[in-house]
Amino acid sequence: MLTDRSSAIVKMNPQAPAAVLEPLILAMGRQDAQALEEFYRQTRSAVYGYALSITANSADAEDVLQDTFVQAYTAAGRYCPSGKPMAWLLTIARNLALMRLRGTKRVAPLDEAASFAALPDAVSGEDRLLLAAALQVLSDEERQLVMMHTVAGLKHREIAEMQQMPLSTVLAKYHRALKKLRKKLTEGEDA
Amino acid sequence: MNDRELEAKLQRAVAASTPDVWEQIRARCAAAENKPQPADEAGAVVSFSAARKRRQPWARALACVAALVLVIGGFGMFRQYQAQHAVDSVIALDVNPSVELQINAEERVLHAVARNADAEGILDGMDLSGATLDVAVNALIGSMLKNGYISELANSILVSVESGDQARSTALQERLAAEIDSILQSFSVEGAVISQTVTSDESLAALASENQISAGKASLINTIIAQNSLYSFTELAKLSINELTLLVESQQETLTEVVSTGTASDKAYIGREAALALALEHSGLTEADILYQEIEMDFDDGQMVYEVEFFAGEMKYEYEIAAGDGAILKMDTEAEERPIGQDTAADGNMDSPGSAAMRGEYITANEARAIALLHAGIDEADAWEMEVDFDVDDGVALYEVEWYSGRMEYDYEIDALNGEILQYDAEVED
Repeated sequence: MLTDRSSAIVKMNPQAPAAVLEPLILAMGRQDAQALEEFYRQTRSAVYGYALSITANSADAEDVLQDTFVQAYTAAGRYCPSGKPMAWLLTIARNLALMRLRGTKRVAPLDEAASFAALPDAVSGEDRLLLAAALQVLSDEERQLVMMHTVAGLKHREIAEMQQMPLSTVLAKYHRALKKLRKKLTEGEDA
Repeated sequence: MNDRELEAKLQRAVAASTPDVWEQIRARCAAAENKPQPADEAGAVVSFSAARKRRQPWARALACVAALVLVIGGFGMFRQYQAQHAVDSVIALDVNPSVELQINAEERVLHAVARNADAEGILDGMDLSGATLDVAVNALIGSMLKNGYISELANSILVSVESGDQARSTALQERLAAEIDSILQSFSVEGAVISQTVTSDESLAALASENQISAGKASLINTIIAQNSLYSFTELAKLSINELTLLVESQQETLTEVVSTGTASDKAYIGREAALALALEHSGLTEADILYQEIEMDFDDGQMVYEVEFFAGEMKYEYEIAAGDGAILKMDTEAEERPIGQDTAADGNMDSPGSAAMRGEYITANEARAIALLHAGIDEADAWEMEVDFDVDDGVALYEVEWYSGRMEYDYEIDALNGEILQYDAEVED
C-alpha cells in the first residue's frame, strides 16, 4: 500500500495552503467523509512528523496520527475560519501527543533507531537513518521546530506564536538544529 | 548539503515514512456514528452518512460572526441588550477548587460555575448571580480560606481572565490580583497570586473538562508542559495551583504570559536547606567538600520531591528526596568531568579545596566566554543562544564557545589552560 502511494506523496505539495484546507475543514464539519479523507491525504505527513517530534517513537506517533484526525473530524463543526488551519490541526495533535507521554519516561536513543527498523521496506535506508538521527541528536524542542517548519510548512513566525517563543529564538534554535543534524549525517558518511 | 537540501530530504523522509492509517480513522468515525447522541458541548455526533446534519452551515457562519461582534465590542443598538445578558468576560479562580465566574460588561456575575467537586462545596449555598465581581471574589476567597483551601501551607491562587479585549483583560487581572492580595492580607495570609489571560479553544476546553479542571488551569499546565514534555497532563492536573507554582518557580521557567506576585508557600515541605543537609549527611560529605550545588523541586511518581545535585572531587551526586518527609527516594553517583559551564558563586570565588585546585589549572567558563566575545567585538547583550562546552580534544583541554548575533553564527575554541584562542569561525546563517 505504501509503495503505491509513495510516488504520489513525493509529487504532492506537502504544504497545502490554507485556501485548500479550510474549505475541507468546513465540509468535515458538515459530516462530509470524503472531505475528511482528502484532508487526511493532504496533511497526514505533517501531523505524523510533528507527533513524532513530540513522542520520539514511531508507534506512539502512529497512534497520535489516528487520534488527531478522529478528533479533528469531531471538532471541525466548531472551526472558525482564521487562515490558520495547520496551526489548528497541530494543536490538536500536540495535546494528544502530550497526553500520550503520561508516565512514560524517554526511551533510550538506541531503541529509537531500532523502532524505525519496523518500517516497511519501501522506506529507504537513507530516510530511516535521517529520521533516527533527528531523534537522537536533537532536543525535544529542536525536533518540534524542525518538523513544524520543514514538514508542516509553518512559517517561523507562526511557529513562534504557537510555541509562545520570540521569533529570534525560533530562528536561532531552528538553524542550530539543522546544523546539528547536518553534522550528524556527514559524520556518518566519513565513518 | 545546504539547508534547503536538508529540509527537502527531511520532508521526503517523513512523507515516505508516514503510515497510512486511513482505514482505522474511517472505521472509528463510522463507529462513533452509532453511539447515542451525547449532550451538547461534550462532542459533536460524527456522521458518515451525507444526509444527516446537526447544524446548518449558516448557523455556524452566524456564530462566527457573532463571536467577532462580541470581540469588537458590540454595535449601537445591540449594546444595551448585550451589556445585560451577554457574557463579556470569564474569570476563573483556581486554588484547588476551580470556580468560573461569567460576568457581563457591567461586571455583574451572570453565572458561577463549579468546575470540580471541591468547588461545588464552596459554591454550595452561595447565590452569586447579579453580584458585582468584587463581592463575588471576596465571598469565594473568604470561603476558601475558611474551608482551609488557602492557608499558610498552600497560598497560591491562579486567576485566569478570558475577555475579548486584551486591554480589559490585563486591567481585570491586575485589579483582581491586587484585590485578592489585600483580602489575604486582612486574614494574615501571605499569598501568591498568579494571573494569566486565557484564550479558550475546543481542544483546551475538552482537555479541561476531561480532567475536571478549569480552562485556566489547563492553560497553565500546557504552558509548563510546553517547556518540559516529560510531565503528563493528567498527572499535573492533580496538583494544586500551589504545587504547580512551586514547580514553575523552582525550575526557573519563565512564563511570559503569566504574571505572579508573592511567593508560593513551601511551608508544607521540609525546605531546600533541609533537603541539602539530608543529602550531604547520607553521602558523608560536608558543605565545605562540595563544589557546586543545585536544588530543584520537581514532581515524580506522584509526589513532590527535591532534586539535589552536587559535585565533590571527580564525582557527581544526585539525590531525590521526598519533599514532605525527607525520605531519600533515589541516589546516584557517577564519575563526572568538572562542572564547567555551570556558574558557582556569583563572583566565582569558592574556598573549598576542590575548586581551588581546579581553578589553578583551568580558566573558568565565564572567562572563556569573555575572551571569545571580546575577540569578536560582540557585546554579551547582542548574543543569543550562547553555549559553552568543555572538551578535551587530542589531549588538549579547551572550551567551545558558540553563539548567534545578528545574522551571524560564531564558533570559538579557547585553550582552557591559558585562554589562548585556538580556532575561531564566523559565518552568515541564512
